Amino acid sequence: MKKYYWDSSAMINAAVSDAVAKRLDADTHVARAHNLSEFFAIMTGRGVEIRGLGARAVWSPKDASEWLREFASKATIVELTAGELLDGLDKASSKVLGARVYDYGHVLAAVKAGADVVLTRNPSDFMGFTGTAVIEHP
Amino acid sequence: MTLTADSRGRIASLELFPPGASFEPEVDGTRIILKRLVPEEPKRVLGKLVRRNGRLMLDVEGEITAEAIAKAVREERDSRA
Repeated sequence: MKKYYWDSSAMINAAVSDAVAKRLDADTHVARAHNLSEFFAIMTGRGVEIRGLGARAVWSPKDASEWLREFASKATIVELTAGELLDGLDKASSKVLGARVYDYGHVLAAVKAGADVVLTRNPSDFMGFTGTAVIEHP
Repeated sequence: MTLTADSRGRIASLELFPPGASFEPEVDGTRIILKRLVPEEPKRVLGKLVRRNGRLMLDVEGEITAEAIAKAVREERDSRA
């Protein structure tokens, strides 16, 4: 049984695709508490472009929360302590700069959770940092 | 404030006209009104939360591509930079 780390792009993918959502029915899943906020911010804020419509899809705060509640019931939510983040930054040295710290936080959480696979639609954000965990599209 | 056109008919004010900004002129006799054009925010469509095959899903007219999801997350992360 594999352990999958879901970043927020993978979570949004699960909210719109039956095939991706189905992955949550088997195996073991983890996500960072921060991802819940990121998902909520996107889905109730600027939203996601709808192909060819020039519009963006959003959810009501209530619906976004309800979806997240169901997701959280299927995944173990992990978070980093201040010490874990700071130790990770020491190890990363100068490879992590500026806003990459947000991406790196996901990597550290995935490694902490012992994930075998990182599911993301933004693989380049994680490249070279995930240790033995492989990066896949959801 | 008085703005005087130069020999090529140009008036300049960094304060009023930021570089790259676009304006639509309205001429009414000696009165000229410049309306600043701002890009329109994309329309937002409120999706529905539906249960499909036992799972909660976003139901919205049209297709949401993987590229659009990646872009939305990247924009959100960059907005915090």
